[in-house]
Amino acid sequence: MEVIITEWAKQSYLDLRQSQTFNRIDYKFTMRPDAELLKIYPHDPKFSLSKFWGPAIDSANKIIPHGFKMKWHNMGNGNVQIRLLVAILTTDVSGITEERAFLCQSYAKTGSNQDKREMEKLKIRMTRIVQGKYFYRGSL
Amino acid sequence: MIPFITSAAQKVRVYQIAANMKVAGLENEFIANLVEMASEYEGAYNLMELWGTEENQNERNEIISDLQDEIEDLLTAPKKPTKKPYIKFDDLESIANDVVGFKQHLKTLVDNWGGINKLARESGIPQPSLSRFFNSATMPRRTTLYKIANAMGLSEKEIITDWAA
Repeated sequence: MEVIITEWAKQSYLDLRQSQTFNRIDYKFTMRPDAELLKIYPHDPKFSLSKFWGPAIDSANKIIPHGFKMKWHNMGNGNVQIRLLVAILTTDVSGITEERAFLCQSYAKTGSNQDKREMEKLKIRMTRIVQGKYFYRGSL
Repeated sequence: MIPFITSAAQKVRVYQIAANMKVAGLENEFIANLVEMASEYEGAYNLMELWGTEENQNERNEIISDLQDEIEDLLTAPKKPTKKPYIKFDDLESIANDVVGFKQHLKTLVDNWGGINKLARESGIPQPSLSRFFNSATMPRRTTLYKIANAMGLSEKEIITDWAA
């Protein structure tokens, strides 16, 4: 499966990088390889680990269809939890309609209120992806 | 995905929250754009609802900043998936530093001109959004830069950056 890096994801990585939330080693040896597992989704045992992968849940506690979160714990210099929100959708890109994984946004989890906001933003972005109204920065 | 269609009750709720936003001092342009967006995007509707039920002012400000980001992003969205150049991980830090440096310079101009609250009034950009804008490393949107420049009477040259999104 193709893994698309959306502009939203890239912008969120810029912020996390600037704030030193994760370092080069975190990225090279954990975050990037884990994100690349999406290429063979769901055929890797890590996708059955709830500490690593699970459905996205909205502010009303409902599962967001086609929305998921990848989770990393104890990242960077402290006990930072990083979330990567992913949409798995069948859409048309450059004339080819197929199922793809879209990296939508990443953030350091600070609390449940922030989680709720990020999930609602994910919903907006998933609709935008289906509508084709988005920028992307290539694929993994 | 199932398209989001607001019910009659949800439409009324949107107008109620919009009226409360006006009382809270938010600008007409922001509220009008938001009402339109909430009719099409469930996430925007739910964020409005979160604002409507939230009592903590800091949290309300975060929601306003999120909504303004999503509104600006939608207003500048392409009509079809559009690829921008790839950015390597190793370049992220230097780009982020450049963006932060640019924003710090712009913030100095804003402070000398009259400050963020004045800029919020003159530009129509909610104050919490401006605070987030100046404190983040995300690439500034050209539309945001133009609003700031027009409000402050800055020239194009003064808002040029290599990293405008």
